[in-house]
Amino acid sequence: MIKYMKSELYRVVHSKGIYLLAGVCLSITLAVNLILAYFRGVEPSFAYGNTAFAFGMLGGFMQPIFFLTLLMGCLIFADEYKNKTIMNSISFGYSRLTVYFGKLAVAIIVSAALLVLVLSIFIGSGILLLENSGTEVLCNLLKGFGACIPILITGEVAAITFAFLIGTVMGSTWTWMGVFVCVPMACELLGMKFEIFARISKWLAYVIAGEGTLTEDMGLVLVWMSRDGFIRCILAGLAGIAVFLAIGVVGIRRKELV
Amino acid sequence: MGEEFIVKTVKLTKEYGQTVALKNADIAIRRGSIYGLVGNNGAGKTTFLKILAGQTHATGGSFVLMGEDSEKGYKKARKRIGAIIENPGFYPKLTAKQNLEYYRIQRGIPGKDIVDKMLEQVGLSGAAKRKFENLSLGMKQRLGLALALMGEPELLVLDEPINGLDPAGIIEIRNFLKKLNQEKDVTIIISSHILTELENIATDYGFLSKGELVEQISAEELREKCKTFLEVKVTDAERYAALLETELLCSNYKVLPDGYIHILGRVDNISDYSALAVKHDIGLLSFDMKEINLENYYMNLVV
Repeated sequence: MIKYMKSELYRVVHSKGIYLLAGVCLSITLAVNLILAYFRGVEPSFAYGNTAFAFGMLGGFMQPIFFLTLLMGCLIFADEYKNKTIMNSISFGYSRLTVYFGKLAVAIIVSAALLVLVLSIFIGSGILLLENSGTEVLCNLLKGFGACIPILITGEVAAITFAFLIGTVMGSTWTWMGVFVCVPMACELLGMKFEIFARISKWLAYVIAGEGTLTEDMGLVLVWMSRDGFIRCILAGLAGIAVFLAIGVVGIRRKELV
Repeated sequence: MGEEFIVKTVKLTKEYGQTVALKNADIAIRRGSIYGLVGNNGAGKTTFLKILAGQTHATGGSFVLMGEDSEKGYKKARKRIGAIIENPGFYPKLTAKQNLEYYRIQRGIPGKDIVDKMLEQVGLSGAAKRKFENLSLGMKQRLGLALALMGEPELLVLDEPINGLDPAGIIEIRNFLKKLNQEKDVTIIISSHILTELENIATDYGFLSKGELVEQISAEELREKCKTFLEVKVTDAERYAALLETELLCSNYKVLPDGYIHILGRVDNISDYSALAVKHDIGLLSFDMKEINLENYYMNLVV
């Protein structure tokens, strides 16, 4: 599997997609700090030109980040069936499961590298350009990402699993959206009437990623900030990983390559 | 190593739902041979090759691949196989060279130079930096060959490898494959619709029709069998065939569509055959001694 992963890393490094994604993520996060720094410069009483606001904002931005896992999954899957490239790997003696797990591992490695890069530049530029609100806000941001990592991995595992089972990027994207966006939304709506659905929705990745309440002083209280919420994040993520891995392993074993 | 057959199947069967793509095929491919797989569309050629390459699972029967007869063993054996099945698969946005490098890393083949060497061998050095999506069909086919040949495989599985190649390219690839077979003892399984092309290269043949192996024969045996035959086209083929049996005691014939009859084997008095039609008032539309080529032989077998 190591050889397969190495080849996948070679492909990713030589593809434009990853640079485009990294470029967009870096541009957005840098732009946030630059805009806040600009307003802090022109208006000294500007209340949001500090790391507390910037870091809090990114921490509360977990839902859009969750969508990036779908993008990453598609990027790593690379239309293997359409390109018929998976057939070569199988012909060279790789099992379908090795290919599947190899892709998953590479997706996680590349995403982790991208996350570290983007976070470093965001945090670094924030500290340099904005008023430093202390280490607590930084710790909160890191804790938030730490808590959401299993959920983000769930999104990636699901994206790659759907891509392998459905075969097309379009089909798997719609399925992913259905499972991670439509189902939680439906659960939330039904939860208004039936308690059971409200309880279920609290454990769904998309809901957890977007769960937060504003305090009176415009501070954002996010789910992982409490001990219970943190544990819920981790458990929901781990359960999601287990469920989609099981679906992947069972489905891919007998998948016909057409 | 050392076993006579590199591939041996026993009642190999593949069903896709209700459709039987391969039915009880007993195929034996000698080590060191160039095995021509002959069959029309849907005959089961690609299915058979896909089973060997692990791209699909057999639903019945068994096979031995390079001495291995288990899933684990097949995976081991496949590391020594080079295969192009249907259109060669590559990443469209990577260049020809990057695509080969990707698979070199994946297969753990040492030495980066091998990629340039393979590109040169298939005449693609000049297109090394072109993206796969911008290559012509012939170039894509050559790149597929380069991939199959990389890592010095013991067995090459080639499904329609000369698709899209120009005549000069066909000759070049044919000579290259022959050389590979003769000098490096690489066994080659090759399927092609261009039967004349197979005639130029194959040392053994397997004839498939509607998923069944109709015949397996060496090129030498085929040459023996395929000398000449008499092709007769008459207005009433059925009646003429019956008369052949009753009056000329000839049973070695095949009735083909459109009124054609092929009279095989030794034909001594040719005039008897034309006279037979005239005598019974059957219109004789054409009458010709022909040499059997692979195409005629296949048609005689499957029709």
